[in-house]
Amino acid sequence: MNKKMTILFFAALFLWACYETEVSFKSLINGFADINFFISEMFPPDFSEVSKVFPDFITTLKMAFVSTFYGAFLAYPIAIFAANTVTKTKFLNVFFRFFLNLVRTIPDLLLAALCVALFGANPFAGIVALSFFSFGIISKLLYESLESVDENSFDPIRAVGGSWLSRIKYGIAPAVLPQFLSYCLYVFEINIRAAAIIGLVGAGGIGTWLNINFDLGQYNKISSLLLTLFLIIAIIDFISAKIRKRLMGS
Amino acid sequence: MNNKKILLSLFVFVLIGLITNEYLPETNKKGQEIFTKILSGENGLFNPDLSIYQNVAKGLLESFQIALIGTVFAGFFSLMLGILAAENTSPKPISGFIKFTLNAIRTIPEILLAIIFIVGVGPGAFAGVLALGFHSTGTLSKLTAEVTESINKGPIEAVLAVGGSQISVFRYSALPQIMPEFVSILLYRLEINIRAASVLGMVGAGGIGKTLFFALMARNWSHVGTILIGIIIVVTLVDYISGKIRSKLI
Repeated sequence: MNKKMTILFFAALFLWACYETEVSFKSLINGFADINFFISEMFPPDFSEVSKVFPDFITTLKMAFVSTFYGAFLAYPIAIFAANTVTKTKFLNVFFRFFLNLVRTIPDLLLAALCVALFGANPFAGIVALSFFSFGIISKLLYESLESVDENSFDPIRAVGGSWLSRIKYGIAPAVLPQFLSYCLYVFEINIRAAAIIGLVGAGGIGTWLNINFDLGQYNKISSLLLTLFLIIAIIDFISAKIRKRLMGS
Repeated sequence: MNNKKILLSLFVFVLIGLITNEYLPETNKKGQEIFTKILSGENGLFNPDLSIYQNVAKGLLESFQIALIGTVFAGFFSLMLGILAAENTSPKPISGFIKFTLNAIRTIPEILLAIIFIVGVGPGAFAGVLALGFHSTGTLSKLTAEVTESINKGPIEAVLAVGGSQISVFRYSALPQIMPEFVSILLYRLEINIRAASVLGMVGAGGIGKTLFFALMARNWSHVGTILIGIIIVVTLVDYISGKIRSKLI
């Protein structure tokens, strides 16, 4: 009975939402011609300008790289304070976890739009936004793996009179290092995609060209940029997946 | 720490410093004044104007509806596609083909999909629903296929042993095994989609993003502050509720 009520409730919620957002498959079917036209305009891709805007691809990669670094750099100490295996003060754990949850609620594109407003339309705005975004993900993943570390393995360090800091340095840091590096690579992969997209709101990199070409209606140039981007992402994902596999294996 | 590691980390630090320096915006007294004004001035981010709460609530509700419908549509299609893509329930060529298509779908960012669908059905919530639905179908189908591939063979053989047809095998042995995990990943996707739905409006796909976009364009920081608070509250709420349901399911 309870189950039926739940299903009924969600069905009602769904139908109401459909009504409010004007879901209509008729308009989708009618719109197919326009979508088709839009996509056929993208082909064949015009690669003539890819070499000209190549420095901006590099800018996107640099933005992703630098912000992953800053994110990780900030995430490490915060994750230590949020993990109850390392920091024994309950108040600090709860406080930092709450803070991390807050950070992660803000979507990357929104952060980028805010940073562009604050710092101007340049890659620096993108770097600040992505650093904040990477910080949220890495610290969450890191504190979860810090909590899964076996506490008994630090007993020897405590037994010889090791302080809190030396417990972190000799006990915890080596234990979570492979995971930490693997999370950083994973976030780097996410950041390349995000760095390309946030250019749409003015945060520098290749997204700026996507935006310009979109406004000019040069869809075949957009497709060439996207294909190049997919290629770069595929190569980096491949390399990063290889490294991560090795890290987690050892 | 050996010399190699020290050299490597030194190299990374110098590289990060050089790249950051390249993108550092020029700072001057006036820039700093504007910066503090945006943040804490009378109409600043940290002085949210709560009088527009009705508008914000309306936008947030629309974002929630977009995320909900997008997730439900994606769930509907991915249950079918996921089972077709699983190696243990469908022939190899079909499963391979579907998996390849799903991978291709997943590489297209939601914002780009939103732009494509806006071309088709015009700006508004429905375009957002389609973009989220399409993208989520890619991710959810992959996860569903993985769940399906991990099901236990015992119950399937039991149904076959008592003379059950293919349909009753699916209905009474496969589906009950898939369902709890499927609902759990569906809820997880809803959490992601809520975040996505709150930014889709920036390209014209409805929801709170539209309100936010206008506030940013008008440099109306106190409104931006209110909208941010709204997004944080809704995302936290959805995360909390879905987390509760998920921990009950598994």
